[in-house]
Amino acid sequence: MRRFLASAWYPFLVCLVLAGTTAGALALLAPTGEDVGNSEIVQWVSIGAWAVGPVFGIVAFLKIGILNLLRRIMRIRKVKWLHPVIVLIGTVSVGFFAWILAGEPPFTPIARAIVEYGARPLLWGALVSSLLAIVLSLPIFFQRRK
Amino acid sequence: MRRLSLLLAASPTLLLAGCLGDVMEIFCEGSPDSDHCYQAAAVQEGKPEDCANVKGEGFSGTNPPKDKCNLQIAENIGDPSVCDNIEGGFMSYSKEECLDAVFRNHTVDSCEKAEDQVKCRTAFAQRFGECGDGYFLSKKTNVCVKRGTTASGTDDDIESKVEGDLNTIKDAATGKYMELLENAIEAETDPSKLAGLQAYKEFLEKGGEQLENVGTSIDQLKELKKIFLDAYDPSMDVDKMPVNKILDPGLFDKIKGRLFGEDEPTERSKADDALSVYEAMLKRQGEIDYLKKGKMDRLTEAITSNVKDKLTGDLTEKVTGIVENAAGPAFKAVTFVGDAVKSFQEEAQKEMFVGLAAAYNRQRDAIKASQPGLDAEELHKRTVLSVKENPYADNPNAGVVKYGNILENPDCQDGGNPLCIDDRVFWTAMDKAYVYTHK
Repeated sequence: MRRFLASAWYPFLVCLVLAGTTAGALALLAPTGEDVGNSEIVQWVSIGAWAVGPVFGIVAFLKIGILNLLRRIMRIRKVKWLHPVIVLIGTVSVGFFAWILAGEPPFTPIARAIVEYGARPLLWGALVSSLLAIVLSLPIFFQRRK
Repeated sequence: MRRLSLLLAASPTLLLAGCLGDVMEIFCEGSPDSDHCYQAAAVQEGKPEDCANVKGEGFSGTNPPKDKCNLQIAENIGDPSVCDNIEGGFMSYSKEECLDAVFRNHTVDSCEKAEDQVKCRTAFAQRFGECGDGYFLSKKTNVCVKRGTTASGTDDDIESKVEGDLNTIKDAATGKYMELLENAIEAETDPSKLAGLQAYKEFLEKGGEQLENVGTSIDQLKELKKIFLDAYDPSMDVDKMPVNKILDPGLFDKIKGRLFGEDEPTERSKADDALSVYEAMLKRQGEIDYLKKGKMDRLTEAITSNVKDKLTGDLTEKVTGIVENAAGPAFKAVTFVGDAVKSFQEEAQKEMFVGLAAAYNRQRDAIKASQPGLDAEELHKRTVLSVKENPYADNPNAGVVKYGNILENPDCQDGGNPLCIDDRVFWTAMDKAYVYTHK
């Protein structure tokens, strides 16, 4: 388990879950676009919304990769608990972005569409992936004494 | 290619979440319909100054897209002063249309978030004669002015700084209470409040409480402060209570709203909100009634209520003991049934109040629809009269919940019937809750 947590598979899995949960949340929430007020915008956003999960999954993965590269440059790779923290930074930052976006005032059709089709599912994705990152990293913080 | 480079340049901006309007603006320069693009960006940001980017291509002499931009922003944020930017003209929007749109959908409370609160409130006052909480209309300048706090005044916060410190149990438990009191005295600028706090400190010190060693419990100190120190101030009156502090969603409701979306308010939820406001206002009215008493009366009440509570507790225990010995285990079953009946009765009582609150909301909606020109105060007065005259006017099939009975019972101040309302508080709570839930 510790080898998995130290490897690149760990952030990859978490980001995959972020992408998948976002898409799943979009399917489950099934926004109708009634409140948007512009059918053309709804038409385009309902297609593009499926890309939000994968795009932010890649963005989070790249962010985590950059931070891990910095970790390597600063020669603190041996600090094992830093890796889950960096993964969490990747997912929580996406969650923070989604939270702020979900709070955008619904003054224009494009804003209403982005909140309904993009921000809300992304918030779910970030929440679930962050929880997964925490749960998977518990063995590092609760080491068994030999 | 240009769009792609713009998109890549915008990517860092995307990281600065919350600036959707700013991001939209980036794409407007190259857009074939830049006017409507800039208009949407300005409306989304809620910044009237951004409407200056709307050039009004194809129009001469007037700029309808720019006027619409200002109108939409004014309507969204509830600031009538934005309507001053409207130029008007042929085929464009007028300032009056803009003001009508604002006043139809907002109240003066929306001005709390306005950039220039005074200008915003003055515009409301010019139409409705009211500046809202904490402001009054100056007869000299005809402009809304912030009310100053009186010598012993409090602001809109329900808890004072010292009470906030009193509630810091951890600090009190580590004996830091006196230190907190010292800090409060240092920070206090109001001379009468300062004198009160210093007298309070003297009282504690004379009672043997030293700076490092506070043995008295927090509740006892709170009680003493309430008896000797607190004073009634007109700014505490229920009609000045800010409703948003009672009804604004808490953290969990905000998280739920962002994850699942906001639910449309129903008649029931609006009535429940009105009752929450009533409950909070009743509590405040109770505090006001207490503070209006003299110090000796407060002390007497504190002593007798403590003795009464102790007596009641002892008596109940003794009675229960005797009956249990005589009646055996069956006694317990009876008390459970009694509790169930009591809670059902309480639930049924609650439904009566919900029915009455919902009747107020419905009748106010009906009067507003039939007489749209009425101001908020007149609307409220007519609604109260209408509900008192015929509570079931709009709901003939009221079913088993005969909420009108509440109005027939004596006021809570006069009678012992639990199905009563406190007339001083109930209608004020309905009015304020209606305004808040119909924003």
